[in-house]
Amino acid sequence: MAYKYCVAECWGKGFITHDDASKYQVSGFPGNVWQIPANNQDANLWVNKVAGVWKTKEEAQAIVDAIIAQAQAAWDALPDEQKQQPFNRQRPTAIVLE
Amino acid sequence: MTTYKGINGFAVQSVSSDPSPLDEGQVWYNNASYAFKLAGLNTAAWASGGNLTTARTALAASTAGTQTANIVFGGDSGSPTGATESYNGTSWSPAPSMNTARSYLGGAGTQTAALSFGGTTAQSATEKFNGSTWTNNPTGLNVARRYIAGCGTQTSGFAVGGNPGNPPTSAVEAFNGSTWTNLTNIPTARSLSAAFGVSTAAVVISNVTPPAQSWNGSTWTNLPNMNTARSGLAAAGTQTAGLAFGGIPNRNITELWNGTVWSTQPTMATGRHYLGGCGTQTSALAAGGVASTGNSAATEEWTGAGVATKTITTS
Repeated sequence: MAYKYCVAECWGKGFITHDDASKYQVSGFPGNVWQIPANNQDANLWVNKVAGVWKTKEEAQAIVDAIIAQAQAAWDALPDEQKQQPFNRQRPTAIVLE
Repeated sequence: MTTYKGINGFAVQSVSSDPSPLDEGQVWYNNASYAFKLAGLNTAAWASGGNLTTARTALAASTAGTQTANIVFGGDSGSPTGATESYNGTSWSPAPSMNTARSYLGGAGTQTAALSFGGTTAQSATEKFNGSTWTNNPTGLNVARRYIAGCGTQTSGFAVGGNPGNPPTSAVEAFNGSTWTNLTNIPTARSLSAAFGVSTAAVVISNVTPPAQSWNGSTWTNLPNMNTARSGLAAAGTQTAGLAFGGIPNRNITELWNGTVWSTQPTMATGRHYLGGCGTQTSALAAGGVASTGNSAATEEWTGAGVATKTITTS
């Protein structure tokens, strides 16, 4: 399936309504990147509703990569004892957008 | 010309409030909101709810609360917290904090009668919330532990598994409003599980083998495997009508339990684990947790498939 991407800040209630989610899948990624199906008029209207800024896949991937890199650096800076605690948050891993 | 009365034998009713229960295809005019309405089929989906005031992971929820009236409490927002937030169906507002800050705790009850128990690090502490204040219960869990699963009510709470300091425990306890009583151990020790139901009829799920086990008040039974066994998830509903969502690592998966089999449902927009959850199989809430790069403030509201009121518009 082909996807399109935008950046928008989730303000909470009403950002993705039940009606929106009933018509198409919206998936969130780090950096307020949102993935929607391509060639979907309702999804395009949703991006307009949330004042989303369109991004190419490459631009969206760069945003996600930068946030992941920041989170990895923060994790790497943790003391070893915190990293080794069972069930502690794992080092963030790369995300590859489809 | 074909008319509604001609088809159905009666005219569209004018009523002051929407009918309940609904029959699919039913049409009426609501003379209070001046709108024609229809009982139509609803598609299952997650929608955005109000963001938590404080992003946090490893929190607990009033598991018997509803999508429009519940609380979340405790968790980790950089360090263990006792912070409590209350949801009204639209937004979260701060409520009095627990007396003991903690994360990876268990929760039960409702917005005005909640129960918290256990948590980091292997605490037995039990507190009761009355809608205004948290009060320490004089006695705590018999087995102090964190990563504990909970469900039920403030006067009939249920606590399963968890970790008292390695290995995970199979201890099960019930709370009667005053004290915890040991019950039959769950056959498979587990932590970071989720539970749904009540203290006499519950289901516990996680990524051990078998992933799902059912409690009938006296014995445990193995259930069919979930489609994606996972820990660190949240759940809602009853023993025969449950919903499981999220889980390690950063899962957005939703599965529905109908008492016989698990079925995969539409995913959440924000994948996460160590989240809070409450509600029913058809009206649940997911809040907080940890997403791929950190703590999440995201709240999502689940509406299951079914018949729902829809307003008829001319546009």
